[in-house]
Amino acid sequence: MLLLVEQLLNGLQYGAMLFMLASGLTLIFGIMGVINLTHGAFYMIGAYSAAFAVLGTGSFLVGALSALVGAGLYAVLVELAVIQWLYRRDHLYQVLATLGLILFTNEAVSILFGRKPPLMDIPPFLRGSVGLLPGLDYPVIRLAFIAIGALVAIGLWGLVNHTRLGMLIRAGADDREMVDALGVDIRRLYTLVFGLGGVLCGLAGVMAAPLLAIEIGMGERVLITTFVVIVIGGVGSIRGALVGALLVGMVDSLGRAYLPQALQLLLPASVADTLGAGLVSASIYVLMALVLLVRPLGLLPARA
Amino acid sequence: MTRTRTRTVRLTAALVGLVVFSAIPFIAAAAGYATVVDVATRILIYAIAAVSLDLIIGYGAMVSFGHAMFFSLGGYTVAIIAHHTFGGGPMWGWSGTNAALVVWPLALLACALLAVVVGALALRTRGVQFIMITLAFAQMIFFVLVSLQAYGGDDGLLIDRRNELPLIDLGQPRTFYFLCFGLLVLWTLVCTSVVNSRFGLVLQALRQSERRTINLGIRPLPFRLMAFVVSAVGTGLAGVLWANYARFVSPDMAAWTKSGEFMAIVILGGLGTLLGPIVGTAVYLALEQVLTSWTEHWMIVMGPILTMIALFGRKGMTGRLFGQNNND
Amino acid sequence: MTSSPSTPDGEPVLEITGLRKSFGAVLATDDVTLTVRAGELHALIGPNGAGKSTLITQICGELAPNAGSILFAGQDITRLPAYARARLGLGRSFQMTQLCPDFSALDNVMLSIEARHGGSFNVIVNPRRNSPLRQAAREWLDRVGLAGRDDHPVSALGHGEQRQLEIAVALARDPQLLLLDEPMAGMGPEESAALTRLLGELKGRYAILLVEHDMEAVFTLADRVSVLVYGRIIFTGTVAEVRAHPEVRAAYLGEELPC
Repeated sequence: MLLLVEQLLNGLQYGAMLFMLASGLTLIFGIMGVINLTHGAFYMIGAYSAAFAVLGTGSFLVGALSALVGAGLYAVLVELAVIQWLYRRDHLYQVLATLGLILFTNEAVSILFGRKPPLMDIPPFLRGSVGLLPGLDYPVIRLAFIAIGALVAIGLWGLVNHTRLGMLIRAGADDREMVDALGVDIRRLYTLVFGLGGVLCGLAGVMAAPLLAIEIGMGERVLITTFVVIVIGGVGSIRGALVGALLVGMVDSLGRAYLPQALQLLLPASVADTLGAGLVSASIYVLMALVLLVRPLGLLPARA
Repeated sequence: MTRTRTRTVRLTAALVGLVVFSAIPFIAAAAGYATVVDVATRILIYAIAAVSLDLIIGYGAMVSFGHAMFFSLGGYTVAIIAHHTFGGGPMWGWSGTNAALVVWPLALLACALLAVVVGALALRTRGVQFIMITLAFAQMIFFVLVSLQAYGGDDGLLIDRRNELPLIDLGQPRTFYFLCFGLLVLWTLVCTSVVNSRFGLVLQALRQSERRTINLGIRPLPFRLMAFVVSAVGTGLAGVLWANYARFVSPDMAAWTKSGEFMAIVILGGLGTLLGPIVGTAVYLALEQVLTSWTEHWMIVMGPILTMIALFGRKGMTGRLFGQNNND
Repeated sequence: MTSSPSTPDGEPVLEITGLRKSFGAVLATDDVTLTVRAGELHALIGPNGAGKSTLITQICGELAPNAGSILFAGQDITRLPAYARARLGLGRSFQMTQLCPDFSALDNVMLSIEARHGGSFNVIVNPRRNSPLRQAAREWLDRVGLAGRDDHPVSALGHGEQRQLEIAVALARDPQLLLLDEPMAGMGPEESAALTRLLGELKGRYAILLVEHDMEAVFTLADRVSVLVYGRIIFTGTVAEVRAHPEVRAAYLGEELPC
């Protein structure tokens, strides 16, 4: 029972991180119609910036700021240099162009920062565990993750529904020309949204840095999962991103904990052993395939 | 350009290609550059996959981001059978075989079956959902391959020796080269026949105006599925040949970056031309060869090159020349 | 130029009964009942915004109605997908030309002929080498006045020619019912007259549902006319009856109704 609660919390925490990544990605895809594979690279830049800033200054706060600024700036740079030419293009070309950017970014980071993965310690004020239930101590940092994820969700909801920028974002999703006619520079809006996505990635990066391995390929690993999240949730919809993130987080977490045993029960031992690990990793893809078959546009698409 | 002129250009280019590729092993031997045959063999193998992918992306407008799964399935079928034939113990009672005429059709059949399953599910979706669901299936295959500890898992699987064909020795580089060459020519002819056929007429019509085609009474799914399966078999063939060439397979063959590589090659060469992707493969792999010999950090050049291909590559290198989507 | 009033007594090919479609609070199709008989040319007219497009998409199967039924040659097609309805013989031309732009004019017509049997899975035979098929396609092009434009890619054809090709493609399919969606849209007077003549020749061979704004063509060709206003059929009758009907005249107030 306690194990279940712990796994649920892990799922929640993973979901929170996925949400930070997915919300930016879904905005970018929903509003600008661009499949942005570089999103994972921004996350990596965030993690690397944080790690090296902390190494240099010893302050977690500086590290966090570096992550946000670093990822955000890089995102804006990428938008101005490459993405802006991709808005009306076929998805095929967007995929290819951003794939090239990933390869470039990975190599550039490895040249600049070396191939040896940096380590980032958990900052002192986030160390230790808290007793949530009798017999269950849960790490503070993971709880902080969940809290920050919730704050980001609330913040985004407020932004999109209660600010002028949010209105422009929603309008831009529906009608580019109308926004233009309102006298708003749609180019600046797009750059801003892209940058915002980058900052959110940076935030995810700095939170992941103490918990996960910081290495060159980390962006790609999380990128595919993020796409799975927005496809399940419904492209272009932040609510969809939230639902998708939580769902994927839970399925992944609970799957890793309970699926191997379930498979042992259902399949002959040898098969369960060989395929078990693979199926566990693949569980979220199975989930996505199932969702798409029933609801081809995702669970909560932006436009019905 | 008019139809007949592009046709002449295509035929000329094809003839030039045939002559050049036939001559390569002999020129290389005379000049003393043995590795050229190696690189050229790789080009031929990848070209088979590229032509197959062009069939569905260029002619069928189905952007599959998961074709690497067929590449890997073809390769792994060869590798797994070889593993059990040479010391790995029997597979469900069968002690295996090294006859290409048995192994290769099996591998292609496996790819066809996977394509039917994946296609039947994925082709219910369009656009970005299709891209993502094909990616998802490829990722599933990737993770399954990684988890197959008995077959090397992450480290991959070595293959004892190449498959055997009667009368010829595939262990000889030159012989293997010409086999790949022959198969590329054959497969390109098959794909050309497909796109110019009555079936191809419908497939291309679905690409150009799905609405019109449906309102004429044509159901899209069976046609797209068939094209998808043909394309998968071709890609699987490339995987089979790769496994024989390298005598090594690894889960990387199913990585999404591999799918991306195939896509880049097709776009670079020219979508919807069938011959273009062959040119694209040659350029791409040659470029890779040159860059890797320069620097360890060759990706920092390759990345932007891919990006630029995407930004400027609407017709690819040969689209204008070979008449994109033109037939005959 | 008046048409002789006739009460066609052919078998009903298309029977729409009580069709309703609403989008939220907007009732786009309001209890529409309409029948097209074999050999009849039935025109559907109505002011802009009357819901003609919505009605057509429901007939063709691209949009599902909220209520009502559609019968085609006695068969209930209300739940049938678009391609299945076309297979049964429901042919259509589009208001915004839907042609295959990379194909030639001949290719487009050949596609239509191939589609008679639902398309072929033959991966060997090249239809462009098939003489009978090419000949048949060429005949259709000649019929609509596009002789000699065979191998021209669609992009090289003028707007009027593309509209003619639209018709040829719909005809080549050899349907039972031809649903023509504003075929004369954007055509000059000469082209409209030519198309009117063509449709006059086709009358009797097919059941035709003609949606048009061009009143001259409608009054020349139609056996019966239905008038659609705000999603409702306010009247169905012969040309003469329609012209004299007060409600119809009122609905067109401000629009030219040639006497």
